Amino acid sequence: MVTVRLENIEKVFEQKAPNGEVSKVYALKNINLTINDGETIAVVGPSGCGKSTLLRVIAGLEHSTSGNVYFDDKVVNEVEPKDRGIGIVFQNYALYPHYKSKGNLSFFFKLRKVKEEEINERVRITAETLGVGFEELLNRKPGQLSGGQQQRVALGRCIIKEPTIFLLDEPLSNLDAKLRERTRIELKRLLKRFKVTTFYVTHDQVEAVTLGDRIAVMKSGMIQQVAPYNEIYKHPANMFVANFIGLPPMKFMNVTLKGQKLVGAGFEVEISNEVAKAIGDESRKLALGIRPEHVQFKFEKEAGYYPANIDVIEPLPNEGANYLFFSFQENVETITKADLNFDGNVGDTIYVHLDPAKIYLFDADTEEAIVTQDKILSVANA
Amino acid sequence: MSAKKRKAPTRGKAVERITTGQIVIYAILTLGAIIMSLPIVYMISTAFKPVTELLLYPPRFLVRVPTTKNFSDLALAMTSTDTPFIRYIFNSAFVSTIVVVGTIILATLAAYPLAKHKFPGREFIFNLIISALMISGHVTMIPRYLVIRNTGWIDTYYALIIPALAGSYGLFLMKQFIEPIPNEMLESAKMDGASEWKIFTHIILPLCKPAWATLSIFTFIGTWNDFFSPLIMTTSDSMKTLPLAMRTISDGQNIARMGAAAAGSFLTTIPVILVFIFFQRFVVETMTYSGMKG
Repeated sequence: MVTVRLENIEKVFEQKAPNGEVSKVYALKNINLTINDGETIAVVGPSGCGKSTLLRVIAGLEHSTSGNVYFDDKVVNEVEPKDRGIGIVFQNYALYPHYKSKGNLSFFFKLRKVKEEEINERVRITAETLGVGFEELLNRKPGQLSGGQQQRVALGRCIIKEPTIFLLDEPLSNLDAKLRERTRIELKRLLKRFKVTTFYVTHDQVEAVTLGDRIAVMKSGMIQQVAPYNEIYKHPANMFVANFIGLPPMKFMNVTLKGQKLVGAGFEVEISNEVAKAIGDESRKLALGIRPEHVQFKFEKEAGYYPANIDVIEPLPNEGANYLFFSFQENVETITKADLNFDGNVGDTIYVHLDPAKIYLFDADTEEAIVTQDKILSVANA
Repeated sequence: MSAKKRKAPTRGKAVERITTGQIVIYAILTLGAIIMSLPIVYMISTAFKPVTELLLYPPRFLVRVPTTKNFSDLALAMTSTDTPFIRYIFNSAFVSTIVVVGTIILATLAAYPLAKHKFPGREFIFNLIISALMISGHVTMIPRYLVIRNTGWIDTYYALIIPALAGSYGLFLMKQFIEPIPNEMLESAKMDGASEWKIFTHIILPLCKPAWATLSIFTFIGTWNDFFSPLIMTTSDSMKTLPLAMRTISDGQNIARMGAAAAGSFLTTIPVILVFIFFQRFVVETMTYSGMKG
């Protein structure tokens, strides 16, 4: 198998304004990423962030404006897509509608004039890999298949040529929720079994967590952070990542430093010396974030607990919890987790404590992280 | 195809409520269909009218005493010409077939890059070709005649076939049909190792079949019925096509010939109707097919 290395990949479009000025629009900017041999990188980001474009650059379907794509130590910028050893699954599957499933699977070999017996053998092996019921699909055309079946055929067409790299572009997003869950596990099993270097594009966090050995978060053509899920969840590099990863998303409240305390609208948090030092200047605008599981609350007033109003209660039996959406004085919502048998009502006042060891602090201007839970990421140069 | 499977296990037909709106719509559509079919009915009826009824004023819509005399008159007129009548039929069939096949080939070849490839000037070229749709054929008739004359093609099959191949309607139809084919499908083929030509022959062409049916009907009807081009492009009797030959028969102030002409136009329409019946089921497919994406 191969290691894929992206070096300073940029993709620029020139946009002409009505006044004739030409401005540059970056679809991809300064992308540096290594996908290790056999590793699965899940790329997440909002639509239009460039994740599919990046996949197409690796596939060779699109060329980057500058930068290099390496497969192992070889620059492949000019290598034809067909010679890159890539298996690809598109979101819409893109099966050939006029061929039966078998024809879809064997198209690759037909073009290479492989003997009929060998093709049949390959199809048989692929059908075995994809498990029960796949054989029945072979004699049907894509139009006669359900979405889930089409997805399996598309996957079959991808693996039958024994690629050294998988490129999967939101392969599950056209399936209904139940099927998506099942297919996700099946896909996980396949990826583990093949140990093929995989670039997996998705907008679904759960898919990214399940399938990605590491997750790359993208925004506006730039990679924000690449790390395993736990790392990203615990120590996001900036506000975007903190908000994007984690369900429900992290909310932010404006705070300022006053001595050893962070002061917000209607609440305070005592912080350690190190954190205060990391912040540095008291005039610095800060955003404080916290994960729901780190918010503590009580019904009675107590030192270090500040009054807040419950706005919405969302029961999530799956997670065995109620999510309480509450706000302090300002109408900035924050979320906490409560037991399923929580018996409060909307409008009730609760007293909330923000655990100083679990808070996230960001520079509100640059959006870069200063402190994530117990880790100090950047120290102000005083 | 899946409709069969989806059928509920219960027997019998669901009882549908007929709404007033449906009745109105059906009434309007039925009326429209009747009006549209009137000329054809009139043509058939006229083909069987005896001379007395042909000359009746005001004309009678339906024939009262049908006769086949018009057809025997037509047969007589056919045998009395210098050129055997079969020659006209051959001319029409030959020219129409070549034009249909040629249009399909050229339109598809030209439409694919315009629909699926990016190259400088693409929009301009397409718009230029499409703007030709706005120009009436009669406006270009004289320049076209001059070109053909200077080429030395007057009174040859070239004069009837070559200009007809350059129609922009076919290109427009094929481009619109190819455009919605998902790019990913072509890219998949590319990743599978298909060359540009293989993508065209193995993916694009098979998917174009329904569009060809539509194009065939329109092109065939247009060429088969074309009276004007043969009129100005041909001079000798042996190069005439059916509509022109029919005109020759009905020409001259002979009363009996009028019935023969009616019978003739009835007979010339038959191939067109047959072609339409044969291809129209694919046309419906064109509509449903283009809705399929991915």
